[in-house]
Amino acid sequence: MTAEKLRTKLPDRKELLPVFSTILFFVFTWALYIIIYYLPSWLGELTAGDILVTAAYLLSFTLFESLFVLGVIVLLCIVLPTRIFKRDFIPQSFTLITLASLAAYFLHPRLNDMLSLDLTNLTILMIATLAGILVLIIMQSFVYKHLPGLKLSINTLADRMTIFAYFYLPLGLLSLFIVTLKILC
Amino acid sequence: MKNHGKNNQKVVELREKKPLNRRDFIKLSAGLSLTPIAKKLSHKRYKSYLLEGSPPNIIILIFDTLSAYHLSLYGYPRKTCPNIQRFAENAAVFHNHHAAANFTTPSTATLLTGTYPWEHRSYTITSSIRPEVVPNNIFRLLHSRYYTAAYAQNIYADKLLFQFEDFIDYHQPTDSFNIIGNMIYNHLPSEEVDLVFRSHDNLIFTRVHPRGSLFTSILYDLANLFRYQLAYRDLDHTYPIGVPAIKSNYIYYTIDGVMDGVISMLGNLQAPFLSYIHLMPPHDPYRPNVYFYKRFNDDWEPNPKGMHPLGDKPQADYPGKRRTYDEYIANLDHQIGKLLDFLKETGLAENSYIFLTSDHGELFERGHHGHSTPLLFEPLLRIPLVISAPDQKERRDIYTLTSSVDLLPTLLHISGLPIPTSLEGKVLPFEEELRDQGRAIWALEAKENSTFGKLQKASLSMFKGSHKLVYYHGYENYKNQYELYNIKEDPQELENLYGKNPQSSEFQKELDQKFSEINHPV
Repeated sequence: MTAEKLRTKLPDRKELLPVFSTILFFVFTWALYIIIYYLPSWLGELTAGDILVTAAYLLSFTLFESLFVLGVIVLLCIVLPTRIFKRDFIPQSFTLITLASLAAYFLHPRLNDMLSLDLTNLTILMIATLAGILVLIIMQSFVYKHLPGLKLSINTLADRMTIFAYFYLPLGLLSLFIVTLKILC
Repeated sequence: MKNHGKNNQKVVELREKKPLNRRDFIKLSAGLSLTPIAKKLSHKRYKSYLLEGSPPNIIILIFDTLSAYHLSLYGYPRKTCPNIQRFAENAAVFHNHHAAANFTTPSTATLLTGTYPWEHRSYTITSSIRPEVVPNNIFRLLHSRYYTAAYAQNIYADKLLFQFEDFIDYHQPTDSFNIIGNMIYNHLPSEEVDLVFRSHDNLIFTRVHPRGSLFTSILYDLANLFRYQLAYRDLDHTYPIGVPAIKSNYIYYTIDGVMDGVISMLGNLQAPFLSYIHLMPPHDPYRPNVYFYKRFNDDWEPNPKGMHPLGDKPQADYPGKRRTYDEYIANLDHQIGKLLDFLKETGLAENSYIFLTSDHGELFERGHHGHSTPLLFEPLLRIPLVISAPDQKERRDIYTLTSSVDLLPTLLHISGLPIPTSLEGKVLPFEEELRDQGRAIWALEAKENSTFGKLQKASLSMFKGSHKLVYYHGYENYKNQYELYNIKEDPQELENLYGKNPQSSEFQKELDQKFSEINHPV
């Protein structure tokens, strides 16, 4: 793929913010929930400064995780045909991220059940999941083509999510700054 | 092998030379008679000991969750430890040795600092040792005499070691001998270890729910599941019920692989060395290999005991789990035999003090399986201690009450170093005249308490003479209760003598006084 062709496959910069904001919302909200969950036990063992740095380490990782998820979305945009993904980049990404987040939330307490799966069943499960994601993307493409109102609503909702970027992104960057300062000092 | 110690220079010269005394001369003469064997081996360090009269090495072997109750060495009906018994034939066997806590972090902290849990305050599994206590640790106090080395397979014990990193010359990474599983924290500077462990290894890259990352934790789980299934294809015939593991962090290992690693580590240390080695087996999950699985086909069970008010697993399959645990111990013992043979063949056994012990035991009764419990019964607290000295030719059995808090003072004593007054233990009674029948030893369980505050919910056990008084403080359905047992006449603790024994009130007074002394914020 030439650089020119690659550039045409990439999403518009204006479209990245709502998508990234959606990722930040789900990933950081989960991280904050974890911090609140473990805070009582941390209070019994750590000083205030240590709690702050532990949270900063976690939130720094969360920031990188958000960028990783964005990278996966952009990769999908490059790999899949334009009419299937890039044409409806915001609604496709928004729906995909939302469904993936809900599935992850549902899956978390059940992860240990996967231990009983052998290699064959695990492989089948992974292939089935990837196939399911592809089918979902294709179905969404069909739906957005024939229901422009729905596409507009999702675009609007995604646009509203940008407010979370103004909170979570500085939080992530501040955490990164705290961690860097701790290591250097 | 990676060296994480701050002092990376291998010690060649003695830090402090002593003139040869009569004992050293005898050792030296004995050592010179071993010269033909020594010549067969390429271990210059042992020759340097023999010729230069340096102190003997110290090898401390900790086996996680090894209960004295389950060892044939101490009369257990199943033959779980023939190799430890072989080792004991030229060693001091301590029959009443007790841990200071019923799980790894506080009991290991006691071993390493010579203080009880109320002093070092490592109450929970992820706790660190209180900064004020850290300076008087095994590595710093013995650093002037020895090249210090440490390896802890248990990640919570390993994390504690990083608090002493400045005085550990060689720190073998905890994930060195795993077939699967790497920890992030042990590849970082020691100042970052505790918080990176908490925020990453213990939160994101863990199997304990809830995990710290929404997506990465899932991907990490899946990746490790694939890795394990791929590795298990080659190992399923050797390990029929699964490969030994540290389940919380996707760590898998083979006992023989770990032991080979330990042997390799010991074989490359510069004498005189102090090596602290903490291995996971026989910690749950109990996964003996095919040669030991289903070895014990008897129907033996201990005397039945009822459900304790603080028991939490009434339906657990105690006989089955106990049997598999015993088989796992037998598997471990086989590997201990391999280690002991190595120590003998290389001359290390002749040139070292070898301490074989545990951090705590395991319980299969009273409504609990495991060691995550407020209970303090003997299977949890009574641990093996077998010590072989360089010039010891016969077995000695010692029945005096001793505690893991006594290990550090003993090491200092045999090294000829001063014992700080802040240490709470005493020198172990190798000699008749050191026996002290009057002192109390203690164990404290306080995992539900803050490091900084007073004890809200705790179990405190006092051992004195042949009696043991346990106080359960603050538990909702068993509030402020005492239990008294005569562990000499009733080793299975079947009869609670509290209120019936005329000494009850005297014991209670002493325990209450101790509790009030230790129960303060820091």
